[in-house]
Amino acid sequence: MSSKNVDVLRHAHQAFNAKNFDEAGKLVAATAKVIDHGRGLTMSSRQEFRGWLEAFFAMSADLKLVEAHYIDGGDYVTAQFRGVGKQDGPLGPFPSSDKPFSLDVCEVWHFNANGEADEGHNYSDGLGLAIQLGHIPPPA
Amino acid sequence: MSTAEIKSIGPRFFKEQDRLRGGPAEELCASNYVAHIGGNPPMNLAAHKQFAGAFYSAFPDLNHTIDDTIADGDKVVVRFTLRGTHTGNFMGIPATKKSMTVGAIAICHVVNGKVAELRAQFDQMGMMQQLGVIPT
Repeated sequence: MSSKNVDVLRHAHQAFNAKNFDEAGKLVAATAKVIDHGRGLTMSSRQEFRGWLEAFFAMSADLKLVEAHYIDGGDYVTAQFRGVGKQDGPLGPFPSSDKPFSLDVCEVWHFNANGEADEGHNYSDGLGLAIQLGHIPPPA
Repeated sequence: MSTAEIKSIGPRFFKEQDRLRGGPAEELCASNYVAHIGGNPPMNLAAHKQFAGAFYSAFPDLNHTIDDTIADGDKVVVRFTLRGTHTGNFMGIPATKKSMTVGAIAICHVVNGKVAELRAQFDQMGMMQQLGVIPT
């Protein structure tokens, strides 16, 4: 049986897939700090977090999180999943490739006593994604 | 094994790599050990040693700083920061003399006190950008 914090994170991921950013944004506390290590971004509020979520769909309109697994560490929850979709919008400096991708992602969230995440870390292989999409040649 | 014992294996795994300047340490890995690191193909212990050796050769001062350790059942999650200075050839990239600091995460599946599976992600894009080989 999963803990409440796992359920909260799972619900946020489902809301993200449904493009319900207001609902997904409820995952975090109003002043939560969320770090996207793969892109060197730090969000310092729920509003910034919501904007970060929404921006993914500018890169891939059909983006989905799939095969999510959760590790229940009490106040900490770790999630492993894949982001799959087609890159039909810009990815940082790279234009649309119109190619499909599959990106492995790990997240660690710390929850406060109110059941809101007050800190989150998102790790993904941005270099692997750019190589998959043909923006960067694979290493020799 | 207790959760505390399983939890202790995560940081040890990476600190041993720093001590060995390569690794991972054989005594911490199961015979069927497999590592999934970023988008690289799955690696057995020998392949992971080769992968790690290339890193420590290119970044001789490479070290892991453990940021968080989380355990649940037979899984231990380690968040860490990798720091190093690029003074040797790395994947065909000549030494840039630049330093890099990247965040990373690893999930270790522990069986009978040994790591049977490692799944890790680290900021490879950020690393390449800090080395100046990929534009920001």
